[in-house]
Formats: sequence, structure tokens, C-alpha cells
Amino acid sequence: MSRYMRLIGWTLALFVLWMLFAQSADIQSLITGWLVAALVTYVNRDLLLSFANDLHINRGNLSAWLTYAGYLIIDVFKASVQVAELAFARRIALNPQFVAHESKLKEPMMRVFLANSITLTPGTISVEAPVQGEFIVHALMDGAAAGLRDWHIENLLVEIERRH
Amino acid sequence: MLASVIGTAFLVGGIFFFTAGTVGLLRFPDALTRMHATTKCDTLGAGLVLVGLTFFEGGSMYLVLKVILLIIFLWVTTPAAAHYMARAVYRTREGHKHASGN
Repeated sequence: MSRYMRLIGWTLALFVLWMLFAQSADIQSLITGWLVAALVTYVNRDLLLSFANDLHINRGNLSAWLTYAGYLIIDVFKASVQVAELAFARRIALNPQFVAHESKLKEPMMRVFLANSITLTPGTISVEAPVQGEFIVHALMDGAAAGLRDWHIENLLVEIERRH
Repeated sequence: MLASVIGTAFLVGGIFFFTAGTVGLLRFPDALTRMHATTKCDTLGAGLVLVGLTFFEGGSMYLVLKVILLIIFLWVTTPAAAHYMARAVYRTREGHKHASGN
């Protein structure tokens, strides 16, 4: 798809978003929405064009992304339940520590997804997420970071990156 | 009636996790452990409250799409904000260690 067509696509996507939030189809809303969508696309054209590429969203990867979303929702539940148990426990048994994690992911955008996933899953928060090199993870207790080794969510992201 | 019951269940769940996050914020010992409490519980709490509200508003297509977008936005921005704060705490600690020669 040409650069021009992709920019039109982004304008259309932003326009749909505008209409969704405006909840009005009168002429003023339509014209303003289209102008604003076109302006935002134009100002952010370089970012938007690289963003779609970096995300690797295509037909082949769609099921992997949906699986990723499913895993993430389950892990967010687990993480919140774990924190709730700790918060309401009579005696809080924590052993906070920093742990280095070597990721198999290479691309910056996929590493951002990994850092976000680490933060949303039980017992861990990403502290340093460099473009290259080791992640530094803050773990709430012993063994919390051990789950990051051969982690199913990271393996899924590696699969998405590899398929591209 | 059924929608109200389901909506209330989601709202109660959301309020429970917000409360857990706040209790964790007050009880956990330092900045980074407190961030575990607020990041995880508030993310889920906000999601559950938003889903619960759609049941009270009749669950129109517009509303459901808006709520999905809001949840995605929250789930992207909350961990990003937590990461930046955690990094600031970590680098400040490391800076202090280097400054004191440890």
C-alpha cells in the first residue's frame, strides 16, 4: 500500500474515532472531525507510518495478538488478586528485589509490549527497558521473577516478531 | 434487572480492587512495592468499573466501543507511567549508591 493510501487510512481511522466519541452525525461534527483527523495525521505522519509497521498487525498475526490479549487479561486478574491478598494479609511477607532479565526480543516496539506486560503481570514491574540489553525488573518476592524465564507471553511476542 | 445485577457485580469487583490498591499503597514498605499495589489493582479496578457502567447504560454499541477503547488506553498508559516512576526511583537509588561509594 502506498504511503498516500496509508495516510488516508489513518485519517479515516481517526475520523471514526472522532465520530465514536462525538456521537453526533450533523454536518458541523462531520466537517470538524474530518479536518481534525486530517490535521492530526499530517502532523504525525512519520510516527503513524512507522507505528503500523512496528506493531506487526496483519492477518497472519491477528490470532497471536488476540491470544496475547487473552493471556494479558488473565495475568492482570492474577496480579490484582495476588496484590489484594498481600495488602489484606495480617503480616505482609515481601522480599522486594531487582532482577535482570535477558529478553529474546529484538525490536523496540515489541520490547515496549514486553515491558508493559511485565508491569501488568503478577509480582513484577519493569524498571529499566533498554532498546538493547537486559531488562531490570522489580520483583515483590522470591520466585516472582523466575516466571519470566521461558514466559508464555514473551514467547508469543517472539513468535509475532519472527513471523514478520 | 439482570443487567443491573451484573453491572453491580462488576462495580463491586472494581471497588474491591481499588480498595485493595489503596490499602497496599498505605501498608507496603517503599515506593516500588507501593507501585505494585496501585498499578495492578487500579488497572483492573478501572476496567471492571467501566464494564459495570455499560450494563447500567443499556450497553449500546457506541458505549461498548468507547469503554473498550478506554480500557485499552488505560492498560497501555498505566504500566507506562508506572515504568517511568519505577525507573526514576531506581536511578535515584543507584545514583545515591554511586555517590556514597557502595
